[in-house]
Amino acid sequence: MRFDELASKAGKAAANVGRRAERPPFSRILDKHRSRVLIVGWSTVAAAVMVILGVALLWPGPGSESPPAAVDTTPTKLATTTTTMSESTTSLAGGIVPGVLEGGREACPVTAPGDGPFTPEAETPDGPPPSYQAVWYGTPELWTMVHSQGQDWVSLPVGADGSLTQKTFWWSDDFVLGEELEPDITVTAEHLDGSAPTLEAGGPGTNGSHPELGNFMIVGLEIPDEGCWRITAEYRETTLSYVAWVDVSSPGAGSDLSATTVALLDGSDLEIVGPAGLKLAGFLFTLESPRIGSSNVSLSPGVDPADSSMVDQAAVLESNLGEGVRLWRADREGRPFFMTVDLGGWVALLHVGNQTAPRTEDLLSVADQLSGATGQRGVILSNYSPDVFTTYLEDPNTANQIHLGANQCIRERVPGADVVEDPTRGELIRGPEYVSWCEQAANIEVMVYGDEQFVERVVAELTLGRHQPQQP
Amino acid sequence: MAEPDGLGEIRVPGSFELLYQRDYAAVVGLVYGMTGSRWVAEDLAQEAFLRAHRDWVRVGDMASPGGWVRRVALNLARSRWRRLRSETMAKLRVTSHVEVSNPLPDSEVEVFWTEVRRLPSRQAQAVALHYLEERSVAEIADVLGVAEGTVKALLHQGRERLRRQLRAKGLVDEI
Repeated sequence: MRFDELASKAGKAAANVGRRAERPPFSRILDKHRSRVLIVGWSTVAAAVMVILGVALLWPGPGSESPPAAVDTTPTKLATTTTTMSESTTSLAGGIVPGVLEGGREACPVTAPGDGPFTPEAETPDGPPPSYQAVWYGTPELWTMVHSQGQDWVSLPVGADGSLTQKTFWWSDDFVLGEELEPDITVTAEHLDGSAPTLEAGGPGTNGSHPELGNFMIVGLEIPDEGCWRITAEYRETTLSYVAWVDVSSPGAGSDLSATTVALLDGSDLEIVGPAGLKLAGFLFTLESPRIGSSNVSLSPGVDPADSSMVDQAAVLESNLGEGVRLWRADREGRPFFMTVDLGGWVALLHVGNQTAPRTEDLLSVADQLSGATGQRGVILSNYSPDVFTTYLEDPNTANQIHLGANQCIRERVPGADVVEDPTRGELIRGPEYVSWCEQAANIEVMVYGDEQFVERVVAELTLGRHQPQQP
Repeated sequence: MAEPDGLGEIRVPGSFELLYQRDYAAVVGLVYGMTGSRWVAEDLAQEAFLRAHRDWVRVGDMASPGGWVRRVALNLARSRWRRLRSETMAKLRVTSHVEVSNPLPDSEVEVFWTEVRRLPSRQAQAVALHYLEERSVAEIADVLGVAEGTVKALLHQGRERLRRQLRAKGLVDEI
């Protein structure tokens, strides 16, 4: 068959898939969207806790010159609003808001998306990743992320002086990462009940980059007290404000994936060792990869890196960095470099660097982390990213899979599946070669895919519990 | 003008509704080409239209709201596909007894789109818009937000790479 003939045929076939799809009334889509937001809304508190844990561990605090790691760029729960945005400036009525201290969270005019999310025209994605449950908020001159359900900063890391540390994230069409590594952005935090002094930070801030967030500016805050705070950023004569409720006492709901052990099948254990580590044994980690710093990590059983789906197309060996450690270049947009580390039958693939090759010593450090801490078939990764909410595990020999969805119990129905009651697991969604349930105590949704024997065994044997890190 | 749709305060602006009725199937097809999953395609198409609806005051004034929706849908497909692929594959396997598991009629067509998805994302998007929607270079440039010259290059590179991939699989003839 000629290429054009096949292409034309394929185009028509795919178009027909769209034509055959049912087009629901748009009002039903709106309705479904509302329901979905309500269902998952509660879990965002837990998500915030996860992120804050990451921030606490990975961010050394304001004033640090350490570049931000891409792994901890998820904002903690951001704002809800009662305000209407102007063209380039958003702010609440200035001054102290009476009754905020007494009224608590309910009296705090936290910021919300308002009339509609802002969609950047530039290189930035059209919205934050869906898992953030947030939208862009602001104007092309200056915008941030605002959580669709309300801007609650809960369980912020507590500094040595008792202050609460938090990162704030800002975008601007005028911000060019390569030209402004330390952007001249300032952020002030004003306690709306007036019981704490106004803070100022930044000037300069630092920068960050994330494949799903684009390039952005970061300013760290040390907030001295909980309560209702107006956060205002100023960058190139544009200001943007939102109001956040800071609550040090609320532990939030949800799972602490960082302290979870998943014991499974014949000694093939998955241990998530502290918030900075993940140990896999006997499983292929797929797609939703952990990260080291800004590097995505994927483990594959002995594949030729050039054939890996992580690479997408043929790769060229850039250099041999050491025994079993190689740097590759592939024709990929944005992130052409990746490295591979031979782990003895397994190969770890890491997307590293952006347009320029990273420093060799950094890469070797990562390789040491991987190979030095590797068990027979496992690996311990430090700086495991808490913003990866779903962990996919796949047995490379059978393609049996377990998905652990942290901080979510969405309970999505799979076509063909039924809801059944299990004496130990509670309500199961069960279909052919599939079962899912919620581990309510840990706030983890477990989804199991595979042959019947595997599924049944996981239902019977999988345990989630506290992990006690071993002393080295 | 907004028209009541029978769901209380939920209102769908009329011109938006026209766009939705006219372009929904095309956007689903486009995202299907990029993801291989009708389930994901419908979900992302609906999300793209939701975003257009939320920001309709601005989007509705654009020269090509349909192009905007496609761009959003393609971006969603690009960013979410990696996240969803494993789960979707598993779900499709689980639901293989129902129609969604393989909505394409021929294996060669399926392989074609699989190979398209192996292209760099911009090339894949340009190829999909060209063959699936039969869009002109100017229209593709509008959807992708790039110059027409860039589209020509993307199409050329994408087609050549795709041709090689398909030839290696014995699906297309040698030149």
